[in-house]
Amino acid sequence: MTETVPQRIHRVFRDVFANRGRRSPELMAESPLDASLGLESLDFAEVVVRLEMEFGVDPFANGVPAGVRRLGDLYRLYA
Amino acid sequence: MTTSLPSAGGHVLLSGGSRGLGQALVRALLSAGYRVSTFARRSTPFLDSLATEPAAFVGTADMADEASLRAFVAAAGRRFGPPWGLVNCAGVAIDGVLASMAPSDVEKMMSTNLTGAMLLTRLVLRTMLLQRQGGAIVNISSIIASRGYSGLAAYAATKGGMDAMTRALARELGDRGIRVNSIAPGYLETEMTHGLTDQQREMIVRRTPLGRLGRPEDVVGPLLFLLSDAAGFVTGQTLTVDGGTTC
Ligand SMILES: NC(=O)c1ccc[n+]([C@@H]2O[C@H](COP(=O)([O-])OP(=O)(O)OC[C@H]3O[C@@H](n4cnc5c(N)ncnc54)[C@H](OP(=O)(O)O)[C@@H]3O)[C@@H](O)[C@H]2O)c1
Repeated sequence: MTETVPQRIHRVFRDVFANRGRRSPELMAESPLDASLGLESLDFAEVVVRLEMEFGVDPFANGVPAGVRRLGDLYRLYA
Repeated sequence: MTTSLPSAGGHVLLSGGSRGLGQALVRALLSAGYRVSTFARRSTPFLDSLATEPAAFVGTADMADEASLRAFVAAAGRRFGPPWGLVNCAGVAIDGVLASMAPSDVEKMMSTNLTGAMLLTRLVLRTMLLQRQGGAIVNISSIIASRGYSGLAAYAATKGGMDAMTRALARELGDRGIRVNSIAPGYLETEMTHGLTDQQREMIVRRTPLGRLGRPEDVVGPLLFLLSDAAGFVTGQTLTVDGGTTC
């Protein structure tokens, strides 16, 4: 079964949590992309680099695209 | 906690390894057992001689061209894996009083020495962070960053900026086990200082307790130290290597 874009994005987030030695919270489209998720700025930098490796594109190359606040906002960026 | 890799065998990326200080540092890193990737805008007999060295990877890139840096970092990573160490060494010094300096010369120093170093660091960090093995960054600054020298305002600003980046990044990256330090050499005998007059040379030597200009080799020990585990608790610092000129 092939993973959907949201599943691939969630997997990248879970990897980053795992690498930081933390348990990933439940990831949902509504999850806010800020410190309340449990990741620091450098972790988000790592997420962006890993997403670039996963999808071969970097929508963050010129900064955070407008309107990106929640996990679900990422789905369309990598769709 | 992340731990730092044993230094030997690690991949160190060094900008500007074609001549002068960079050449001496590439040689020393190879002798110390590192795998080294380096680039400059033009090849030199030294870079050509590295073609047969399995532990060296040489490319062409311009500090003022981010796309070329990106391509080099990717190629070096394909050859040796993501860099564990970065040495920001490429630089230009154009002297002259600011009032009559061509704006293009100011821009050239800024884009090569400061913006270029920052963008190269950014690219290397993106791969270092994924490795989670820590790392070490050494920025080649200058004593001119912290002391006033007439005719070197723009150059001084680029090196002062580099030292500021060193301290900020040391804080930003500390908990990932990535150490960031600067080395501030005094005047070294390289092409960069060929323009000094005999009088200027004499004055520098007179002001230097150890009684001579520096040689690129003088920077080798400090660099190997800062990259090594011996400096495992040293970050955010500027190590001056000037024979005491500024003491
Ligand atoms: N010499 C000194 O007295 C002294 C003192 C303190 C600090 N430093 C610093 O030490 C570093 C090395 O200086 P050096 O004396 O060895 O100078 P150098 O002999 O002029 O060598 C400079 C190196 O940087 C490379 N470079 C310059 N501009 C570049 C660009 N746009 N893109 C890519 N590479 C570039 C050069 O290759 P290409 O020109 O082919 O690109 C060369 O490999 C510099 O950062 C300098 O500021 C030197």
